[in-house]
Amino acid sequence: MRSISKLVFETLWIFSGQFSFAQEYPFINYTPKDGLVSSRVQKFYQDSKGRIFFMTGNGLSLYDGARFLNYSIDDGLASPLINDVLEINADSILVATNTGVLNAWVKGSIKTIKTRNGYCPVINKFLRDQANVIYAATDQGLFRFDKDIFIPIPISFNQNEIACNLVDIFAIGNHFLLKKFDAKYISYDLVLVNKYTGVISSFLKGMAITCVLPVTAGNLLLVIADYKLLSFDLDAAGKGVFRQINLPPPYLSLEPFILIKIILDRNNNMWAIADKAILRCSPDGDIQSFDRSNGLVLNNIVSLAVDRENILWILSDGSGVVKLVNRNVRLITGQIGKSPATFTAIYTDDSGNVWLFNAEDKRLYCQGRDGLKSWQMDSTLNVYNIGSRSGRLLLFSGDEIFEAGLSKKTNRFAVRKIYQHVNDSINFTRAETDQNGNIYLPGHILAVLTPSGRVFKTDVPGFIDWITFDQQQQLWTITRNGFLLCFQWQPKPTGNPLILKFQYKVKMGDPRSIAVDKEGKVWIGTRFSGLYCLEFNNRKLISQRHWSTTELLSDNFIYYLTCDKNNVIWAGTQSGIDKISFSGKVVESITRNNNIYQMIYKIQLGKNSDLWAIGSGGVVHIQDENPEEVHYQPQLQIMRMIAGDKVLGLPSGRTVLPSQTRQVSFEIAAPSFIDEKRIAYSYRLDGRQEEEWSRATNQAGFHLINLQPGEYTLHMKAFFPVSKYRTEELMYHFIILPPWWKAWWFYWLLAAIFIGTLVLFTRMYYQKKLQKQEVNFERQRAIELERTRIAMEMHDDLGSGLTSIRYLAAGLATSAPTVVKEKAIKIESSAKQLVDSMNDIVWTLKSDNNLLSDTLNYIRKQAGELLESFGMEYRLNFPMQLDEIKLTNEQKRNLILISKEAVHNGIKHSDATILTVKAVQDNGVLRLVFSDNGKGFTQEPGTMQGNGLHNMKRRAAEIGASIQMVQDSGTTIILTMKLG
Amino acid sequence: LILITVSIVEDLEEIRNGLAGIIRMTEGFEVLGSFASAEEALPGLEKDPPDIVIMDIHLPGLNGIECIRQARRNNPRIHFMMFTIYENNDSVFEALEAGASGYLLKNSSAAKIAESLKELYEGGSPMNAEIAKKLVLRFQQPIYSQDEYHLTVKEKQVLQLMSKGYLYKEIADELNNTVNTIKQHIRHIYEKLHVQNKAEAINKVFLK
Repeated sequence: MRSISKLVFETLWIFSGQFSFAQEYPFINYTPKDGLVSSRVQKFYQDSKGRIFFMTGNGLSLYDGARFLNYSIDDGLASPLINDVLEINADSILVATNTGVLNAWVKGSIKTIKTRNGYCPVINKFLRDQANVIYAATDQGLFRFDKDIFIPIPISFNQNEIACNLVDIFAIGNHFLLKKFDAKYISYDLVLVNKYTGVISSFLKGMAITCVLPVTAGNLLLVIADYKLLSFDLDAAGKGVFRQINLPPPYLSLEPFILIKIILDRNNNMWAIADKAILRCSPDGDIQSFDRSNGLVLNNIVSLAVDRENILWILSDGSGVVKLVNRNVRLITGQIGKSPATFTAIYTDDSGNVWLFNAEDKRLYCQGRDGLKSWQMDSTLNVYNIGSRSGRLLLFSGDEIFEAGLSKKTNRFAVRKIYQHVNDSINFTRAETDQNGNIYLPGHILAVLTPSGRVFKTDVPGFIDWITFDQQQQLWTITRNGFLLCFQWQPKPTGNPLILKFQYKVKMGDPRSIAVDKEGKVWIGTRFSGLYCLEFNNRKLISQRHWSTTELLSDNFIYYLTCDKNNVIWAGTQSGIDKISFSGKVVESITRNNNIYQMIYKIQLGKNSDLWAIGSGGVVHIQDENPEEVHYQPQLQIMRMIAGDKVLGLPSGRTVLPSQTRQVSFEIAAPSFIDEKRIAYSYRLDGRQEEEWSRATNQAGFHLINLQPGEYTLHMKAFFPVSKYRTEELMYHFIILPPWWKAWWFYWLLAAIFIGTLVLFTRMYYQKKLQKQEVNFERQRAIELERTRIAMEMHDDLGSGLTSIRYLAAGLATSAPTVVKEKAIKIESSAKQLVDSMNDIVWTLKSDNNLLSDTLNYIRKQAGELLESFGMEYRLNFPMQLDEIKLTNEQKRNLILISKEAVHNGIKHSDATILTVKAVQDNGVLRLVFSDNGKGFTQEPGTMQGNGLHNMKRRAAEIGASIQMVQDSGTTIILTMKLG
Repeated sequence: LILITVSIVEDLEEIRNGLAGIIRMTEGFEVLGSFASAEEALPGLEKDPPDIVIMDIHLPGLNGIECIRQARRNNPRIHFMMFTIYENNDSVFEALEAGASGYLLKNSSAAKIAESLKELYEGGSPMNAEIAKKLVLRFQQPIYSQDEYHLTVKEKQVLQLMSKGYLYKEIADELNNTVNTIKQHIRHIYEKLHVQNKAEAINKVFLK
């Protein structure tokens, strides 16, 4: 053991020689302090919803990014030692503990699975093969799990059944590769078993097998045996043969190390647990080591895992779990080798070299392709800024500029002072150089030092911190009092060649830094209020956007700004480096994501798509990040719903809550582990007044209070400011039942009762009214009847009396002397006429003659009889069909009398030979037309005709009718009466 | 020369005598009896049945209609002529139903009275719009839809026109018939009414 340790130590030492800078990586450690159930983390499993299950020696932890949900024996686990988990479907996961009982995690709680025969082996590892069949490697052998029963698969060798103590299982071709504990040697063997026969094809025995890793892409079966990485032919293994092959070249780099476990990440880096460190072997075979010296403080590392975001998780039995997110960011700390370092200046030259000045040892360092080199400088020299001109370095001290050229002969820098400060108004630490070799010195004035040594000083309206150049080589700067200035360098025989092209007064507080992007947009960083982006068109401001810490900037003090070749803006702030990409849509705080917090003074773009920044805590190096896109999108999900005091777990479908529920809490998650604390959540609740989205916060839970019964829809959003993920949305319906007196059925009942009552009362009311009307009507009718009866009786009596008189007179006429006889005849005829008139009256009194048709029929008959009796020619033209219109007794009587008068007039006074009576009913108007072909009509009052006409008009007026007389060839009398 | 015998039932003496006078003066008619009440008339009619009875409706005691009913039972061949002041008297229809074959207005002239009697004896029956209207309704009742009482199309037409106030002459013109044919139709209508009435009476007797 000792010799191995020594070897490793030496190897590491050799490798560390390659890394001259002391580096720190952003490791993040999770322990029970953060909520983990136990620090003894054994295994890792990520389910389809992105949640991570940590299997520990003392329970199960589910980490969703927002919280750890922990399960122990108190929650129903059969044993605290979790051996394996396997997702059956979303939200239902088998949990194998180190005992003969199978648990499952279902929608947030632990259940015990009862098998059909009550048997469950001690499961060490699950396997779901491509046919979706679940197998289990157990202490008791190999089993197939079929719905609710474990079916043993006997494994035999030379007809002897042997297999037990299986700890791991893989499906390779038509074989199972089983890792089996060998009690005799206290080590692990590998066995290849035919999937269909259960016959063992091959053994790998007597070697301490610690890890198996099939790599389909390279047809490799990688195995760590006796702490060495071996490779076998995967196809051959699938056919039941262990055929060892040579390690492929990248993995040869791992040969010197003592290895325990290996995994591959999504970029095909191999990560290995070595006995003293975690190693990364890149696809090119480069080895990088992670240990205590660069921040990995973990004891007893037992396993490695890579999640779907390509984050490395390092599991330790005792120290919890550590994640390493962005392996492209490193921090070069205040140490080179073993010496302390304080970097004061940084510069990346056109050849891709990075120059640094260490104020501690006054050495100039250059990180190039050949590694790190350094040169001792004059001990009095302090370099705060580095630049270059015509292949020579420019070193800026507080008040001097030096030109430094490297002598190849002596390998020393020859330093020549080229400028010394003139007054305090110029700040050398922020000097910039242009293509022409001009050195620009910003400050209270803008000074330009030309290569020929001339100095041009340009007055500016305020103090300027930085200058920058746009694509057209125009110089841009901004004064602290808000004057944005744009200059063009235009050489001319005399005068200052720096010409002010454009000046604009910005409306923002205290500008400090400036950058112009590839599209010509001007980015301005301020002292207190974050970042602005100004877009000009023809020197007119057309848009202005703003970012602050609200928009997830790491700080509102933007010290330095630069734009890279991909048009991404990098901002150096009081507390880190922010990246503003995708046209400003995403602000990504690179340093914070990597747990680096320091003030960034200056950012230098490297030549290899990398970026170097100098800050208060050292140098940050950001390599070209994530060349491979990670195909992952976190799922926003509800982890728990709590109504009142009741934890409802993972809700499904929609939830119906009892009516007294007033408070509902939702605990949600959107598992992404890049910087889970920065994921922002927002919600909107439909179903009550406020329907605005809540302000996005990092709280992965919503507490809804003062809820009233009703239907609700909770809309949720998760934003991922630190990564490029889409905003996730989710909605969930829940119902708080109304109390019974507010339930729909109760309303219906009320409504039914109400309507019923209403109907009842209405009916009663109308019935009463009808009754009243009927009573009234009856009374009216009775009165009418009585009146009619009296009239009839009177007329009967009168009639018979008159008839008697008539007969008496008739008798008298036959016998009496002539004088009496004449009178008797007169009496008889008067009596007869009276009876005739009474006949009419009696007719009109009768109630069954109420219709218009009855009256017209009567008129027709009367006219006919009268005309017939006078032997006059006549025409009666009456409609056969008439509307059922009722007439009053008055109308009946007057119509009959008018008709009689009219016909009588025609017969008696016109000398006519023909008389026509016509009745027309048209549009609610009755017209009776009496026309003769006689000599005409005298209207004079006093005459019989005149009186007759007057009578007719009077009678017509009584019933609202009118009489018209037309004298043409004969006489026409027209009666017009409105009906109804 | 056979004289048509007429009996009069009329409570008012002046009228009874006046009427009797008119009949006596009419050629071909003879007054057989004249009674002041139904009670008086029934045994008289029984004893000495005339061809025609002129019957006042409103009689003291038993009324004219009841008198017809009873008298017809013993002597169905007697023609009864209702004697009324107003032609639209409800009782007229009732009497027709009871078996009267026509009506005579008290107010009619002597000539008209003579004509009516003659017509009745010859088989004609007077009718007016009121009666026609009532008959139309009466014959719409279910029992009249039976074949025996079913009115012919012609009879229906006559009734319809009658109820609209048409005179016999007009109806005859309208239906291209003679006035006599129209009268014939009316006679048949009455007969059907009487038959029905009889049937009803028989039913009443047997179903009791």
